[in-house]
Amino acid sequence: MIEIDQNFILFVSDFTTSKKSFDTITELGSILADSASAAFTPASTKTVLSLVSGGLTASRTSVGKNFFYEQSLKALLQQMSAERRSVARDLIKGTGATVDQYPLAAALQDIERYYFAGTIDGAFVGVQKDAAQKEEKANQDIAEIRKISSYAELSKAWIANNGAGAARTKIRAWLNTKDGLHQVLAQAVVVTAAVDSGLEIERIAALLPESEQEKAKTLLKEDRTNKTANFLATYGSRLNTADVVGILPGDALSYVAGSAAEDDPLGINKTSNK
Amino acid sequence: MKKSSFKSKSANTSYRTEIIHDVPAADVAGIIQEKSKETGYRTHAILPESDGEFTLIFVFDD
Repeated sequence: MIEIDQNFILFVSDFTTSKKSFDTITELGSILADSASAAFTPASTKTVLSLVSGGLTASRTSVGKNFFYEQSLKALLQQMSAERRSVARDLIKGTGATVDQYPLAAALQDIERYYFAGTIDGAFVGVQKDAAQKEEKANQDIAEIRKISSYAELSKAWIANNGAGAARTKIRAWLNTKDGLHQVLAQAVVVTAAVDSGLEIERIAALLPESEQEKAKTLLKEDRTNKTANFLATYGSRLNTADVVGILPGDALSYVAGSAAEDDPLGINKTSNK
Repeated sequence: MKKSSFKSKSANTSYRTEIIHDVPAADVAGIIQEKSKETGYRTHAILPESDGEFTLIFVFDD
């Protein structure tokens, strides 16, 4: 592993030094040629020197672009380091395991992976793998958005047929299945839907004890960005989420149901699958 | 897009919740991917809005 590390350090050092040296030499050459062309009088000499200067600059640009791919080099080196760290973690973890858990063959395979991670080919494979994973995740998120929008639309139709009361009962039952982290999330969803639904603030404030209602109304008069957050920060722990569901209008109920499409709170998919 | 955040508690665990309103459909996936990389990210919800945009709600460990 140490030998592979030394080779990698030498490779990185060679690669970056060769680019810097080349840039410096051509830069100096270009400056000298420019100065010389200004000092010479015959037009032909000036032209030749200017051409040399232009050629040097152009070749530097060309070599820089074609061979070093400018910033891509940095990205590739970063990719190599990241891949190497990832394999090194497996190797270090393996040293603490028994021979049965981490046999020699597995260790040799990891050392090979460690070497490959520090090569240009390995970096390209890593970049492709990362890109594929990101694309896969983006596709999953897009599928989730479609599912949510489509479930919200189906919920509107379901509520039109079965009534808002039936939807409230089902959404309350769904809320009862949530605890801890997911209860916090569900409460934020329901209260956001209530605040955004255009309900009179008096109706929302009326869910709190009378002594709190005036302060709650003041909070609910703030701009949209702050009012939900400030209302939840102040009253979240004392607010009964099921009570908030009780005042949600039909559209807001369909949006809350849509946000929980994965759980099918209205039982729409169960009905349509029958 | 408008963002706000607040702290909440459930069963003695403290969370920080972040709400982002008015997110166009095309930006939803990108924002979720970025937020899910943030320290303490736990979960999120996507709430449709009446104008076809979305509200995103993220819960983080506090």
